Amino acid sequence: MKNKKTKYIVLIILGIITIIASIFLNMNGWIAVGGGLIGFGTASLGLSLIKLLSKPETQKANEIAETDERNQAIRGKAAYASNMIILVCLAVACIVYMQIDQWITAIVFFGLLVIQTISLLIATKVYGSKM
Amino acid sequence: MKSKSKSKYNMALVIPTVILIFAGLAGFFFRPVNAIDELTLVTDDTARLIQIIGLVVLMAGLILMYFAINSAVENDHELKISEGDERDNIIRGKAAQICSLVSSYLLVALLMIFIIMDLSTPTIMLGVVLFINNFVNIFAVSYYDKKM
Repeated sequence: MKNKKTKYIVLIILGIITIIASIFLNMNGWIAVGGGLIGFGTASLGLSLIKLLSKPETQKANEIAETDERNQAIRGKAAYASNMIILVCLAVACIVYMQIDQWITAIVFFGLLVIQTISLLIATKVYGSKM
Repeated sequence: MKSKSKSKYNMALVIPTVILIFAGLAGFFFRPVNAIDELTLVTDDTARLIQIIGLVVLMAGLILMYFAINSAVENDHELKISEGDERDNIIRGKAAQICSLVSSYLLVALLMIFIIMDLSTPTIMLGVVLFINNFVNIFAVSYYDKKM
């Protein structure tokens, strides 16, 4: 519990630093980098604040919901479905970028596709030998 | 249908599937000779027509492939048992969860790189992929929550 609190406090500080850095970067003309960092900082700050300020009963209920067998099965099925959708989306994006002759972007998307497929196979094998 | 004639039927499906997919790909990636010097994708109406036909043929090939795989799976009794097996389902779910986490991190990292490099089109494409992923995940959770 104490470890988790420390983690969220570190994330809040990191978020604040990132937001301040992004404001400075925006002022100096690095708009794209600043924009990316401000998104990261805000997300980190917001999520950590929500976790830190939520009531202990809510935290306990969340922990129970996380370890619940039925919820785990539901989450697993949903993750499998969204995984397949990501594979299809990445394949479509890859084909689209090949079609418009942007080969580097197409290769990046293809790399993601390969990484995802391999990680799914490895995870299946690891869990298969574990269980 | 007997299993021997069914396997023959599967083999008969494979050949046109492969031909259709390769023909579709060839048509889809067809380029007129002078297209290298041009900025636009298609310079000729005929080339555009060939590409569209290629896409349609590719789709037909993929649909045929789906049917071929389905009929092959129907033949395989071990695969059928493993599909319904509880342990295999749990393993698949856990692996998918880990894989989903890894791919989400990778996609967000790539999104940041694209934003920093000022590449607008891939950023939008990746944003759409991430949105679809989260949308499907939330939809699937609520669907299975009602079903189970």
